[in-house]
Amino acid sequence: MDLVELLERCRQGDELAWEVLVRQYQSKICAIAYTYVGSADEARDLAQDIFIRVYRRLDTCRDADRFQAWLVQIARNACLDHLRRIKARPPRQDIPAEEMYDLVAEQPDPEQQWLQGARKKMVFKALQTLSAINREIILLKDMQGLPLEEIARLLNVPIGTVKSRSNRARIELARAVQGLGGRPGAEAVS
Amino acid sequence: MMDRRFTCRELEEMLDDHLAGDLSAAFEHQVTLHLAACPHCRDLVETARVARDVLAGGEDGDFTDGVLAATSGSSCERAHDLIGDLAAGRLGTLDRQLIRQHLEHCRDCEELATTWAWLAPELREMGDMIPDPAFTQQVLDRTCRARRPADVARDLVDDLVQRRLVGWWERMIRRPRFGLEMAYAATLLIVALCGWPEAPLRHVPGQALEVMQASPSITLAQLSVPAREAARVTEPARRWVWGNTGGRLVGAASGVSADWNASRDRSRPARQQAGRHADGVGRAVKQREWAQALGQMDLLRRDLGLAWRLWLNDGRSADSNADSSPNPME
Repeated sequence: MDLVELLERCRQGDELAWEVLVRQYQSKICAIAYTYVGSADEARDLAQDIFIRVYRRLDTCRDADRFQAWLVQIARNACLDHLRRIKARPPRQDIPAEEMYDLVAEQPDPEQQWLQGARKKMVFKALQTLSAINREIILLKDMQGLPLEEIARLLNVPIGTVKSRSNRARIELARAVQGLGGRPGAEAVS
Repeated sequence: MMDRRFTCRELEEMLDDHLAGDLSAAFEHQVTLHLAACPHCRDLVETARVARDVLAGGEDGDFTDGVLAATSGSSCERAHDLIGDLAAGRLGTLDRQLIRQHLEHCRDCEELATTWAWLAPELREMGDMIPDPAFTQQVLDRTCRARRPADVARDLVDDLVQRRLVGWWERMIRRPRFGLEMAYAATLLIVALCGWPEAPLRHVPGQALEVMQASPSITLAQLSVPAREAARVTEPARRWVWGNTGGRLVGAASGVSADWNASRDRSRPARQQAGRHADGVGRAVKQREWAQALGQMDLLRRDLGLAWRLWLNDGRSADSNADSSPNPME
């Protein structure tokens, strides 16, 4: 489906077009939200808020080629706003990540499906050990596939900086995974 | 031979032994003398000594690492920059060859490259997180299906006006007593506006009659001030009336006016009493004296009924039985 036409229909108020757009990008938005907040419930609510923001600002995106980058920017801003808001709150008694991964639900919820496989759990744990900026760069480049130019625009840094940070972030993540037992040939952490 | 100084070529041949310390004392002395006089051989001996130290360094004696350590430094950092593109297949031919050769000899970088090779596709998969089935519908409910405040307000007004108010009115007008109650209410309204001394429109009925009674020959100066403008506006109509009725309407209006004045005078005490009780109702309500308010309203009702009877009646006693007279207010 042509994204240019789809976006134009959405701007005209076509509900069917909007539904198609939501379904097309909801998995990416949920993944972005979850990577930032680390909680499935919060990520779900946050993802809905992100789509509401997108719906209200559709008229501001006139270049379909940059739509994904524009979408990710809105998602990132919403996640950062959310994190700033909860920063002031007293800390909750969260379930540790290891116990959370082991919780068994009657039906696999989206978080469990997303983290299925020991590898993904290990990768997610390793991601949380990275610095915020490195985690963000991994999210934008390696998880969402944004080009360097868009990431540089999003983070307001030179492209060269993004590139060098991206390389460092990858090495940092690889070392973190190795530190959790994800060495080549070794059994992944279960 | 011991007196002849070594040549450079001879020194080169003895270089290894010299560095290993295997020369005799006499030969070492000659080498020393030669080196003191020959800068070229001094550089040669120094370079050979460094190379020997390099070869001797490292646990596994890796020559390349030693050379790199002494020259440009480790190439691992450069390899780290290329690991990601290697896994993605984005390297050019030369870069690919270079890094592969490095990985063959650098265990640490080789492990990192292998780790990243399976990490990259995992991260790409983690870039999508499928939400629960209700997610999409909830987003739609909060976006394109959400009602705007203007729509909510309009629907509220429509509901209030169409369903409730109109429905109430339709139910009201179908009731048998509706006509009677409307006449009752209209009477109360007219009495409230015109029929008691403090009424705001108490002069209107008199002025209306005055206008109707005024013949075109009556000058405006003979009319009261409020009636003059009304007379000016209605003059064409009045001329027509006068012209077509020959004054009969005047007579009728005069008769009506006389009856009106008589009724008004007859019912004045009762109307004034009603006015005082109406004031009493207002005061009691303001003071939240509900029992007193109800009492005053009851008295007001009786006063209005009496006033009505007196208005209609031109001779009956004001004390006559209320039940015997048709009083639409009761």
